[in-house]
Amino acid sequence: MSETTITKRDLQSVFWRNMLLQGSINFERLQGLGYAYCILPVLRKLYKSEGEMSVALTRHLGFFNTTPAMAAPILGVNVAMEEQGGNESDEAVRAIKTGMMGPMAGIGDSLLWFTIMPIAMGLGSALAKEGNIFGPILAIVIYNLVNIPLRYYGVMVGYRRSLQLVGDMAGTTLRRVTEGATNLGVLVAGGLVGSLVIAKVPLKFGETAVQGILDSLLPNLLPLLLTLGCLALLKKGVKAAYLIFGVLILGLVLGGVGFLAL
Amino acid sequence: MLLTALIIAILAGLLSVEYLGPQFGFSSPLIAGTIIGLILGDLHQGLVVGATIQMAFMGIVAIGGAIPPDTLMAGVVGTAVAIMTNTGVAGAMAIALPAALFAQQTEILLNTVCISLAHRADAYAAKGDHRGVERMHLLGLPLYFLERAIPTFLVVYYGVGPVQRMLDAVPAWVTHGLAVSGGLLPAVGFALLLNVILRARQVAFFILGFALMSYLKLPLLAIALIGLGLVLILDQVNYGRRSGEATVGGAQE
Repeated sequence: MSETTITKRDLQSVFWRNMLLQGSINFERLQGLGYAYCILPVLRKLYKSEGEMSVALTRHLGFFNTTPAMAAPILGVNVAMEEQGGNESDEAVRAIKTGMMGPMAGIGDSLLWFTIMPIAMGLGSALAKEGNIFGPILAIVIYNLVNIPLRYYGVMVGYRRSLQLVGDMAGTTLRRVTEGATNLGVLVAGGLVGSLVIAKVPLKFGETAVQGILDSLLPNLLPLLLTLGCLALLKKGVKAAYLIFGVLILGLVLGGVGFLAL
Repeated sequence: MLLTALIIAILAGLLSVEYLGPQFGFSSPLIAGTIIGLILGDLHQGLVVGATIQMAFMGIVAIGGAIPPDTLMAGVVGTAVAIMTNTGVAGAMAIALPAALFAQQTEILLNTVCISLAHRADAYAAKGDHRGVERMHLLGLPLYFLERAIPTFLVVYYGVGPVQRMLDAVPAWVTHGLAVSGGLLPAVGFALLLNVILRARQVAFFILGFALMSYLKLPLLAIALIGLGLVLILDQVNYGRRSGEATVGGAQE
């Protein structure tokens, strides 16, 4: 160990490698092998003998799974620990890795997959449906305004603040970020149900349009009922694929006979 | 035709790697559909069909190591077939779900195959051979590339004709019905999403979002920004000043 220090370049190399974290994803270790791949530039710098390298590599090949972007701060913290303690901190490095992956996935999944992604793709799709090319562009920009800084600064801040970060994350920060992200995601989902689910009744009784009556009760009543109905079925354990198939048939039949229109 | 099929297959392979790796969002049906629209010279259809598939598969997310129906293949194959057969949303709806379910199986297969990469990496690690470990990881990339590139090629090269004949043969009411399905399917997407994130405490947010859209007809971006403001205010109220005392009326200083 001794004089070797980790440079910004090394950290950047970890950042780039994290872009391929899941390249060898598998049922047994999930991102385990990928994690070793990500931290490898650091190990190469720190461990010169085959024996040392073997211990270090083995430590990082174990089971690992989190939201890929959120592997960044874990990698950052682990790099700092490798630099300070080397193979002597074997247990601690493993413990931090394993301890952080759950909470990080909790933040990452609710923030990225269930908030930023639906917001970005929802906004983008609403525009794209009108043939507007800015839809997909907007979606990519919004998503990556969060995704890329999270990955980059995750490694950098994780390295600099090391264990302090773990403490913060385990405390209120985790709860605040997750709660805020979820609330925002739910609110936008409410808006999306009203704009992107389309179910109209084209029937008329004499002069009165059925859709007019429905709209006076509650605009977007049918999209709301359909969504809540699907939610109830999911809660009962109906599988997503069956539900998609069921709704496909429902639209096919009701649309086909003219009870529903776009 | 061969060239088109090859280009789209290569795109599917690259997106497959993107989907595992940097996750910039290109592998989502909206973006994949747009790119395919550009390749096939029908940007408008690419946008419309891509957006429809995106919404239908919205809440299907691969998290926690689980393998859901494959949204990437739904987007790629759905859009490509819809444009090449000129059947629009109806064609996309007919092909997207089978494609997603098929790719779910190949994904499971590959996740099993790649276990051997991890074991071979263990052997290299035991010898301290870091290049070997690196090689084992990178070997996964071409495998995952081919996983989606090969089926995509087969469907686009051999499948478009049969799908075209099938869709031509079905009566108009069926294609109309499938288009209606395209409008209904986002409900499943949002239900999947809400199933994960909606708890009793968040019902108010859902009602608010729905009302802002349905009654006030605000643009979605406006709704998102109002929501962001609201969330930040609530965060201040709940966690502002000294944390710990997370009571709403805790301003006794």
